[in-house]
Amino acid sequence: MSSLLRQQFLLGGPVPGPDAPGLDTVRSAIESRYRVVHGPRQRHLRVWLDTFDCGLRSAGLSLAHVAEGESRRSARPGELVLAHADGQAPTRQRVTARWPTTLDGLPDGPVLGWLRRPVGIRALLPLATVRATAEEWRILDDLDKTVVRLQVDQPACVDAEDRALPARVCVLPVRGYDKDAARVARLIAATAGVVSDPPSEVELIASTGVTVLGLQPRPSAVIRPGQDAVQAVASLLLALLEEGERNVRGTIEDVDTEFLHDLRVSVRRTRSALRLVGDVLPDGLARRFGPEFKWLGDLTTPMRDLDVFLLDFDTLAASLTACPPTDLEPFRVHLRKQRTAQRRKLLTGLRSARFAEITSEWRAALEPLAKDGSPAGGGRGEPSDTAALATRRIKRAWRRVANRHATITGDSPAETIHDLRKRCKELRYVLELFSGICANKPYRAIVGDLKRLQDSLGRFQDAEVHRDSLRSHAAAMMTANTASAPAILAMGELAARFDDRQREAASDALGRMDGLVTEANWERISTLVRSA
Amino acid sequence: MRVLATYHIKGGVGKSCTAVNLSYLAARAGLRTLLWDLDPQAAATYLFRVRPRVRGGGKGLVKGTHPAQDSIRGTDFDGLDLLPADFTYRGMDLLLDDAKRPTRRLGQLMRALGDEYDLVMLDCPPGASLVSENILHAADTLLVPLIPTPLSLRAFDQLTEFAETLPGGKPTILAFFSMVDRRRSLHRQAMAEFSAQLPGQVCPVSIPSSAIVEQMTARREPVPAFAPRSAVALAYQQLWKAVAAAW
Repeated sequence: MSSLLRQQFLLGGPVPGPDAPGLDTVRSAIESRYRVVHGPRQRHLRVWLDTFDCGLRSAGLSLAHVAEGESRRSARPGELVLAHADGQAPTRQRVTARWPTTLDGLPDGPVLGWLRRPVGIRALLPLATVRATAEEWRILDDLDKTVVRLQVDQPACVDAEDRALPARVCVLPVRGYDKDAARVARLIAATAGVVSDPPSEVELIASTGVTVLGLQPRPSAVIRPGQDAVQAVASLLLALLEEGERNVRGTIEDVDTEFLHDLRVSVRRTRSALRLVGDVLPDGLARRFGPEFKWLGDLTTPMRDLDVFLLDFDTLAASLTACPPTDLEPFRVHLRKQRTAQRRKLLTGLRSARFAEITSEWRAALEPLAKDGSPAGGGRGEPSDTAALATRRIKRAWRRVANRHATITGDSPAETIHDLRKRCKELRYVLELFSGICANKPYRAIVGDLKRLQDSLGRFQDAEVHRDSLRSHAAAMMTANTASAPAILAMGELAARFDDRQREAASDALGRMDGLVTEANWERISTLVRSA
Repeated sequence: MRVLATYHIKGGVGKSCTAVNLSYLAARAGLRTLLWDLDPQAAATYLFRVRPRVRGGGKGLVKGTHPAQDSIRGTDFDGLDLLPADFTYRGMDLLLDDAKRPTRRLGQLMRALGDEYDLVMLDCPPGASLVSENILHAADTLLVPLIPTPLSLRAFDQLTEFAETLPGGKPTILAFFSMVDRRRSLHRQAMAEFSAQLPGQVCPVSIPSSAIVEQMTARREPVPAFAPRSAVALAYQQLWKAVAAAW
């Protein structure tokens, strides 16, 4: 294997102009030392892929589906080509697919092995589509031996009305001929107008103005030091609104389950922010929009609960000990039917005038505040100190948690533990809100202890929700006469298991509370916020 | 990693031709293949258009001062690499004699390649020497081209006797007829007699004598690459199938 990484070159800038060097110029440069033989030309369609949250990019991978021919219709046979950041030879796999799709819609193979961790349950979405003419040039020495291969690609961006992109030349070293590869690379690099170490094709397309997933700057949902309190809170809420809006289309189209999850996260954080710091906003905005976001939260909950069950279904079924996993299949059928029905309700809500008004009016209220703290009606109030606001709100949230700690015992009812869970969530969220102005080390210590407690409380909550859901689903199945006795018994076994899990989680949480509510953490809380 | 060696005590029987064509077919079948040209005549090296030069020469290779990996060259064909011959290989016997475990040294060098290759094809020089002993110890299968003449059978007997004298495990020996001219009754007769005398040791596939094989040296590429539908190419494909099936 050659020790040289594959080098790439671009013939000109992002938009090919009259001064861009042509392939003839590059060939002439190489022919000063070698002979060049052209392979056959092939046309293909290249679709760049990633998840909505850029999981592949974060893992240092880039993925394209290369299909022969040029038609964009329906599922296309082709090859998945996975490039690695360390320059090793790409991994390839033949696949017939249409995009977007989740991994369970693709056959097993070498590429899929690489994708499972960074992609998970998300769908692979098309980032950009390119129509390209590709050919291989063989560079021959004086023995007519191929000592270097060049991949020459002439692309046009389909998303930009087939606008031509600059030709790209990739040097593919042949083992044992590294010096020749280096020499050819130098000859190409020395050609006027050639760009060395160019951006990736996706980055190039984004630089031409095409909107490419993951390459647009995302607004920050964290308050920064020195910000005016109104401006800070409004900016934060605006960032959460934009994050939510980004996920609406994927939710409506049901591309993968995480779009709904992320939409709910932005709604939940909006609601928490309104409760915890919304009072700094003028004109009763928090009072007015709080119920609207509650409506949105309630609208999205049933389908998300069903998704969680279905995603975990095989694991739950495999955990049954008193009966075979297949006994649970009527329950899966029931869940899927319920999901279809809930999705219809969700779509009605997301396409409603009420939803459109929430987002447009909320944005209209926030934008002027985010810009300079001024409400839409004009007139700026006194600027308030973000650091002082943070200190007050963090201490308040802490005291609420500490007070619950003083009263909870092993015999406390479930409602009390739920109440603790909600106060811990508020504390966690207010800490995250103001993380940008907190001292790093004590912040991480407190959040670490809080997270451990929240893990137990989360399991407590999940176990209860699952157990109660199982009971109501069982009742619904019996009413609809779709329940077999084995299915009900299997669901009963699961419900009992969730009951046990809830008890274990409660006991665990009590122990972890003691690790959180300590003198040391109170000291940290008191001095957490950095002054501006 | 499997090791396949084309070997015969006699020269000019089609060893290099076989090594080149079978290694091409192995790579085409998806095996990561290395062809090691051990013959100082460097015929296989010439056919793949590679300069017959190894870093440090045969001495550097045998002593280990220059690992084989430093001299491996990619051929023009995907999945097929070549460790070229070097004129210094003419003294390989002496070099091996100086090494520790002189009859196993070449096998050690191949094992140092780790799992980089699925198949190593050895194109061996003619003769019965220390190099030959190394090959007999290192190879899983010995492919022996036989020109169908009485002298060829005698040479095959000498080869099998030589192999029997060596201690330790032995490779599978698979003979096949090479440069066959079916118009000649001598060839037809010899083939029938050999097959009867060596049941199970002679592959039923034979490689015909053809001008196309001579074209290999002019074109400097394997026959299946430039004449895939020729009788010679089809015969080599059958031979490859027979070899792979025997594993």
